This record gives sequence, C-alpha cells and structure tokens, in this order.
Amino acid sequence: MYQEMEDPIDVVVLFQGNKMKPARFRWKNRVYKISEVTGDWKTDVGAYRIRHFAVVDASSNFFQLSYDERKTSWMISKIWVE
Amino acid sequence: MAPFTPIIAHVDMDAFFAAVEIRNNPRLKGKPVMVGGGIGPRGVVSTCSYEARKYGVRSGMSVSKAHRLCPQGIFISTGLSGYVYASACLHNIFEKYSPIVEPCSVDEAFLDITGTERLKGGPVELVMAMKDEIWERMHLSCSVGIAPSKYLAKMASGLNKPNGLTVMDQDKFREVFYPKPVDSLWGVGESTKKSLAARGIYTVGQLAETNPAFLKKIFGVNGYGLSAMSRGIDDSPVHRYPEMPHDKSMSHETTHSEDIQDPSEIKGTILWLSDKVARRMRKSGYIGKTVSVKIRAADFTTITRSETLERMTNRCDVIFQHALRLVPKEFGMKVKVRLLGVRMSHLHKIGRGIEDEDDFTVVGGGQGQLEMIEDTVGAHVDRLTWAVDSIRDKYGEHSIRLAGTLRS
Repeated sequence: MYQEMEDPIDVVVLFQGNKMKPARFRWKNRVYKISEVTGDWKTDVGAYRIRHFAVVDASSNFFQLSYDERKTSWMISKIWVE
Repeated sequence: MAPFTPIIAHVDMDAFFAAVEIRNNPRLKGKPVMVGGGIGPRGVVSTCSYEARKYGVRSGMSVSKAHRLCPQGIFISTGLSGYVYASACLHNIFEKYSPIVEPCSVDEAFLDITGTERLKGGPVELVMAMKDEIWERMHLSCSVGIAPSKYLAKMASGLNKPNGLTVMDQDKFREVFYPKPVDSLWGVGESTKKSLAARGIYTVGQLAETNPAFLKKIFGVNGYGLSAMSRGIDDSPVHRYPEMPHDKSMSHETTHSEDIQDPSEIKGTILWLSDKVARRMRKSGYIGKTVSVKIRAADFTTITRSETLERMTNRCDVIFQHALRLVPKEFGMKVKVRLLGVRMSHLHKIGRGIEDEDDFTVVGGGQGQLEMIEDTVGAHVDRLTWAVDSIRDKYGEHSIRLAGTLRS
C-alpha cells in the first residue's frame, strides 16, 4: 500500500536536453540511487507548477518525488510499503 | 477500402488509470489493481487492471463490492493530474499521425487518418507505428479500431482488448454484432435494452431489421439514431478540438463518506458544488440557464430537480440560491442523503450566439460588459468573485474557499 508524506529531501538532478531527471536523493540520512524514472507529470497550483516523478531504486522500491517550482524545494510525497 | 472512403481510427487506452499506476510502480505489475475516486467503502472503481477483471471487478462498481469479489486487490486513489498529463502527451503523439484528432475522453480519441495512412504505407501500418510509439515513449498499450466511420471504429476498438487492432467495415459489423445483445452497441444502456426486450427485440440484428418509424414511436427522435447505430451507419465527422461542439452541461457531484442528515451540511455541500461548477464555467467562458440538483438518499432513491433561470449566469451565488431551493425539504430532515450533485445546462459560450445582453449575468465578461448588472449587490458579488478568481488563478483552487463550505 501507499504511504503518503511530505518529507523534505535533498536531490541530485540531471538536466538532459530540456528534461530534468532526479538521479539520487537523501531521505532520513540515507542516500537512494534512482535506477529508473518510471513516470513524470506536472500539476498547476495557480500560477505555479509542481513536477512529480515516480522513481524506483535498484531494489525496485517505489518513491514519488515532487519538486515545487515556487519554493524551489523537493519532497518525498509517496512510498510503497508491502 | 474504396478510394475517398473516410478512414477513421478510434484509440482506446487499455485500463488507462490502472496502466499508468502500474507503469509508475513496477511492484504492481501482475497484481489486481483497482483505481477509484475514493478508496473507502463508498468509493467507486474508475478502472481496474485486467488481473482484477478476472475476479469480476468492473468499472463503475462500488469499492465495497470490488473488495468482496477480490479481497487481495490493491485499491489506489485516483491521481487525476498524472492521468490528465499522460493524456496530453498521448494527444501530442496522435497529432503526429493525423491533423484531425477528436478527444472523446481522457483515454480515448478519434483520428481521421484519411490520406495520412499513406505516410506508412496503409492504415494498419500507420496505426501500428503509432501504437509502437505510444509504447516506446509512454510504456502504455492501447486498442485501436479502424473503420469508415466513427461509430464502427469505436465498436471495433473494443473487440480485441488489450493491445488490439481491428479493422471493421459494414460487412464485418453485421457478422460480428448482429448476433450480439442490443446493449453491446455503444450508447445503448440498461433502460433502452429493457424497452426493446419488452417488444421482443433482443439482438442488434433484430434491432437493425426493425422499422425506424416504429422505434421513433418508442424513443422519439432518438429512435432514428438507434436504428442507424444498429446498422452501423454514421456519417458524423471527426472534429478537431477547437471545432468540437460546445459542452452541453457542466456538473459536479459528491458521495459523502457517511449519510448526512444535517440541513446545514447539505447547504454547505450545495454551496461547495455550486462554487466548483461556477468556477469551471467561468474558466471555460460559459454561462448557463438551467440549474439542476441530484440527490441520492441512503436507500439509493435518486431524484433530480431542475429550474430554468430568467437570466443566464456563471455566478456561484445565483446557482447556489436556485440549487438549494430545488432540494426537497425532507432531505436532511427526515431522509438521510448519500450523494449530492449540481449541474448547469443550456450553456452558451460567452461572446457567441447571445443576442440580447440583458438576458445574462456574467462574471469576467470583459470591461464594459459588467455595466449590464444593475443591482448594487450583484455588482459587489461580481467584484468579489473576480477577486477570488484572481487569487485562485495565482495560488491554486484550494488557496481560498467560501466560509459557508467550512465544517465547524
């Protein structure tokens, strides 16, 4: 099941062409290397935009990361727990 | 197909919401996944994976029933923004294969590929190339029907799901659908099926052989449409999005997590729904003339009430006042309420087709047009609504809300 949260995280991002791609992130003092971005989409909040990334690490753990363009900040918004 | 015969493709994404969720989270692959508007027992399954369908779960089924059929199923709350974004990406792919694309929902579209099929050698080759591109770029599969009309293309796309491709002409339509029950036709629901059954008409073939004039007596002008559908006849063109006919209505409804019996809560819900409908109308540039409410009691008795206004509007306060009056007094007093909905219909696009400007009250109609609002209170509400719209435009829909919609 999914567990929702709004935990701030630090993220290393690659800019490839005109796309941004999270590469690794630090959450609760642990660093996760992203092996695949499985989905990405955007939501408009008024005049601002939040970018969402569905990602998995090498162990196929799922995380949903969100980047708030207005606050220029990242957070982890959802994880999958068996 | 003969030269100059239209070639229409209908693209239907396979279990779209569930497929997006499974693509995003590979841990869900191979599992019965159900996506719904609310994962509580009152929620409804919007779509489900093919693994869930093996247990009898279907779109539109209540979550509680789906849970009974498939207790090991994984229920996921709808992430609409992700699906809408995926839909926009799909639309961009469609436009590479046809300049005439008509979206008919978030996960379906008609493409007029007359002429463009030559880009890849033929209609099947063109559609195969499009399916491949959708898979490569989005990791989503779709089923496509190719036919000389929209109706036949739509009927064809549903034949070989998932990941199907079906070419259909009139002969194949007769061969495949004539033995099937009438509700296998797109647009024929339970009540039409019952009406036809009462007259001894059970199959598409029987319906096709029925005199259209007889069907008109039963269903009014829709009888002719029903007859044409049963024979696979449809000459409606594929509309580009900007040329599509105007929306006929706009509505919002909500199912409460528990039945409500508090008149103030009903009032607050009607206000919230009116605000959502009015805001959507203003954003899309519509005004409307008929207000309707839908009320479903705890025992599933459902009623709708409508009122046509003297002046067209897109103002929340006007819609709310009329909608609230339409709710029968016993609801919330004696009768518990499960669902409430507000609808505006007889819509007009602002600036098109309105001859007498005194006939409407509109927010955001442009400088000078607001002078038509004669009463001071109306002008005050209009300025307030404009201010609220501006705040929502900048900070989002949830940044400000009407006090009457807050629960104590």
